[in-house]
Amino acid sequence: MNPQSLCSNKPATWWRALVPFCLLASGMGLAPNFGSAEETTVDRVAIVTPASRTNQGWDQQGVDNLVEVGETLDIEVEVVEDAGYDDITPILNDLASDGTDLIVCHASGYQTVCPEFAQESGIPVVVIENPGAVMDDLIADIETQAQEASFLAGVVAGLETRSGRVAVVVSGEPPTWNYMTVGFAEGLHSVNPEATLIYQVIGEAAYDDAPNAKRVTESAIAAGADVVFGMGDGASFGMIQAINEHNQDLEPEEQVWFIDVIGDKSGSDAGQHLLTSVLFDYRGAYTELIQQLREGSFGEIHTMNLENDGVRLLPFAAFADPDTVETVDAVRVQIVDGDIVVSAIGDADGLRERLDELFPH
Amino acid sequence: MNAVPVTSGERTRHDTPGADTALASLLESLLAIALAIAIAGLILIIAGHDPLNVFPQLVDRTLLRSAGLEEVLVRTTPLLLAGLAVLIAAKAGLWNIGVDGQVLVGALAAAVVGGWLVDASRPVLWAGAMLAAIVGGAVWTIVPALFRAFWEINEIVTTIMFNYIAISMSAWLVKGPLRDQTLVAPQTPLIPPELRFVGLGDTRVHIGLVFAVAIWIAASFWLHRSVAGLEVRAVGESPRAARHAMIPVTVVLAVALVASGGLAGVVGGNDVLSTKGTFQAEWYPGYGLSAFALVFLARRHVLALLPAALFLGMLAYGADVMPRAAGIHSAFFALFEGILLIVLAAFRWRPWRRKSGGHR
Amino acid sequence: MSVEAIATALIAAAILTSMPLMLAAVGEAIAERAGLLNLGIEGSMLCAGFASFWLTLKTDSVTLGLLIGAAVGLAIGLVFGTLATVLNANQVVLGLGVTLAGTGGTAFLFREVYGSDQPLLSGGPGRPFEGWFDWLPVIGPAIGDQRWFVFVAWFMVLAGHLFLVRTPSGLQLRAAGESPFGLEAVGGNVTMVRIGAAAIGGVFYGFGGAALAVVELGFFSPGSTAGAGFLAVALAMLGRLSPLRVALFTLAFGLLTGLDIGLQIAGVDARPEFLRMLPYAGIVIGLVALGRGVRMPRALGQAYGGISSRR
Repeated sequence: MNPQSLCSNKPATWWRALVPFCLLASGMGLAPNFGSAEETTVDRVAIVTPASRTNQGWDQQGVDNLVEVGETLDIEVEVVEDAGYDDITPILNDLASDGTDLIVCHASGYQTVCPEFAQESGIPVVVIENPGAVMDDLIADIETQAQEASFLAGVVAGLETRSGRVAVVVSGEPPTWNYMTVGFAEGLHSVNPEATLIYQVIGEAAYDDAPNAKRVTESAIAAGADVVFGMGDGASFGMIQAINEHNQDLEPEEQVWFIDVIGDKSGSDAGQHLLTSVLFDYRGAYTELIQQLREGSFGEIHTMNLENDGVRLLPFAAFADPDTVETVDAVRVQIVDGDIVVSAIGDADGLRERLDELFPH
Repeated sequence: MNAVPVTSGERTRHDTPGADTALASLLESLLAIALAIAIAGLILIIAGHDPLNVFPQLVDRTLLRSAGLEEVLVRTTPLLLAGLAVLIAAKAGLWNIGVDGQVLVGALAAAVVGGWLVDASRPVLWAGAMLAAIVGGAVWTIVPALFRAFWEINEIVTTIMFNYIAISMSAWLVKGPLRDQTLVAPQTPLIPPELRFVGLGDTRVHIGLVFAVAIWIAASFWLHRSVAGLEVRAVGESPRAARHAMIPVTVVLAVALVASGGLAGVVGGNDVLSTKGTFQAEWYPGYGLSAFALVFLARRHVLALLPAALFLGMLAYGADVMPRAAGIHSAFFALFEGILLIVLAAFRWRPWRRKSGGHR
Repeated sequence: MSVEAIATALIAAAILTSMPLMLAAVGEAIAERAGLLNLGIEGSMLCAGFASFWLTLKTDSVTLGLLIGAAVGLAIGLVFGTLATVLNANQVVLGLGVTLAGTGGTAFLFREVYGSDQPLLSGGPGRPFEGWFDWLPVIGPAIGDQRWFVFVAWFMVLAGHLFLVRTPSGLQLRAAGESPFGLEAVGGNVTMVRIGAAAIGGVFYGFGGAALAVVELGFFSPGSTAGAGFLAVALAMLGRLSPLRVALFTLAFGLLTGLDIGLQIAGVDARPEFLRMLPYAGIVIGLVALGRGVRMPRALGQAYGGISSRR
């Protein structure tokens, strides 16, 4: 499936119900700032994340990137972390009352609350993985097409595995993780179709469930996996500890390697056995969004993909095979050129079907 | 398990104040809040914050601004209902620690039925979804209730276990058969804003608050003016005496716990019909422990629930705004509620009551 | 990869991950025997876990970390016991308060102390018995693979069991829960016995929380107990408050949770959500199967007001 078809072919039925509502809202003059050709001032942006940014993952990456962009563009950045998945409207209203010009709702779980807020308040928002919600001057969407970079990670795993067993450990099944799991599996299959893929879910929204993450990873290692692709957030540290402990006193060729997602842990305690990481880089998207808001062209779908470097692989660890590096570079070019099309599957059922197709039991 | 588990009679007896002790109860609650503020303030000082900045900021943000006050009232609504759920069970001497699971099931049921009824008129949708929420919450309590009533299996443990089961079950349903196929992140089909609870005037406060207050008044009458309510309280005070009085203790216990679950379901229904409009995977509202803080802040008296809920609503909204306003992590408010609960628990020591003969 | 090796790994993981839970559940069983229902385990474990992680990180000594964890547990246990007896505090409310305060407090403190870092411990306690039990298929390597503190934990369970069943103090403790009036009538001090029981329980929770952080995980993160404290209450009841039985049930529970992982590895076509309900449903079913007609201490959860209060 072409990733972009997600935006055009799937009608968001609920959205239609909102149309009269927002027409009414704009008719009543609730959104006076927009639609003019004049340059809109943007001097205060905010980001709301569901968990805390200590997890060196999803939340931290979004916050750090926005703060960096804010410094470059000389814009004030407000950070609200740990907002959870309860109704975040009060937080959004509070940000609005402080004169915030743009709010980044940094979770696919905010896919309905933020658009509703934007229409009621007239304050532009950015949502994640909800292309159906975009609206001129009001709602923009960021699509992290991380399945492409994950495909590369799958290629790396397929080439680097010595046991022929590769594990994918996830702390939940949100769309972001699912896209990456499928991309990884396809990449693995493309270079190593005989490999065994072990797919393990730690729990329901177990993003911080490090104990179970550790346990699950240990069992994957016991089952022979020597490359673990882990999507966890806080739970990632459980996976990393399982690998660190396992690798203690082992020869390099017997060690298990970890492929991380989103952030760069290579400099920390957690980076010792890091093969690579699927990096998310929101800086380009954020810069462009703010630019568009200033120019009056806000309200598009931004796709972070390999081509625009929004997703990419972290430079490989020293222990990776140089041949692997070459192959991955070649595959990357093929993806960017459209010669390889990576599936974009975001739902859990679809994911399972695809995994069964690729690696039947 | 042969319990008498924690359904001790002597607890209830003196925790239900009569008219003469109502004022003393109020003073105790205020004293408890003051003590908790003092302890929490000390912790803030140790952590390098300035409580003289934090607490006034909290009051300013929550009570002295109209936007804040609105949000406090929005937060009060589910808390009041959750507190009622805990209280009704507590009046029968039962500990419903499974409120969170019941809220989840109630919310899921409301979201599904509400989603079916989007083409119906608004009152029909509301009624249908709320009914579903009540049934959902009640059904989720049936097993613990029956086990408790007939086999004396401790409801604390079973209701907690059903919390975990509710999380996994609802996750499976909303990721699978109940998912809105048009959206990527799993959630049930959205109930559009114009079909949800209407706002009161031009505010964020919605009609759910009116419903909650109405339920609260009805529950007060039911508990204190009806035969059934009398039976519930009698069983709570002394199951043995109640049995002697020919009250069907088993039935009363089961009904009280199921009613408590139904009320908890309403909390979920209210959240879906007011603020959320959908049931979302990974949304695990945690009202349960706050509801306990609420009930004991109200000194287990049903009429005091509303002011106590307002106070906790203020804390809940405080946890939303204070991280930005004063750099206080939202976890601080859980800590504060915990301290408040500990202080309230310790307040059973009331030497000044002994003299007035209020002691057992 | 052989089935045996996976089974061994799962059993080893079950022994390790059920160990903190086991300590907590056995501590709860001892406290409940004295008539104290403590729902504050979760909070106690988190506080102890945070303290032990903090000290281990500072001193690089797991032993010191475990000890401070136990000390924190002891302190909280003493406060709980004192409030519940001297001040007649309602035990359930008190326990829920400790859990709420501990959960919120450690999350708050963690941010204050470490900001947005997540430090990790390296190493962990040694494995003194590696290879000792390899003559036993499947299970042997799983036991030999354990870190030394796991053996200490099982020793504590055994000691707790013998203390409760075989010693005069244990008898007094049980009497405080079963028949506090009787205990006072024969000259015992119910208040002191109960405070003592709460303290012993607290030490168990403290070790449990500390072991979770510095032995099992190698780090602390807010909320990392993930409900272990409440599970401990359930497992204590399931094991009918006998430390040995509680420990065995906890191990069985650990194996049942491992089943979910094992079946996922085997690629069994079942949604993991269902598999994850199993352990909890198992506890409920276990309570029905084993719990019916079993007596709990008569005075469990009740404040004791002294003989003079008896009517």
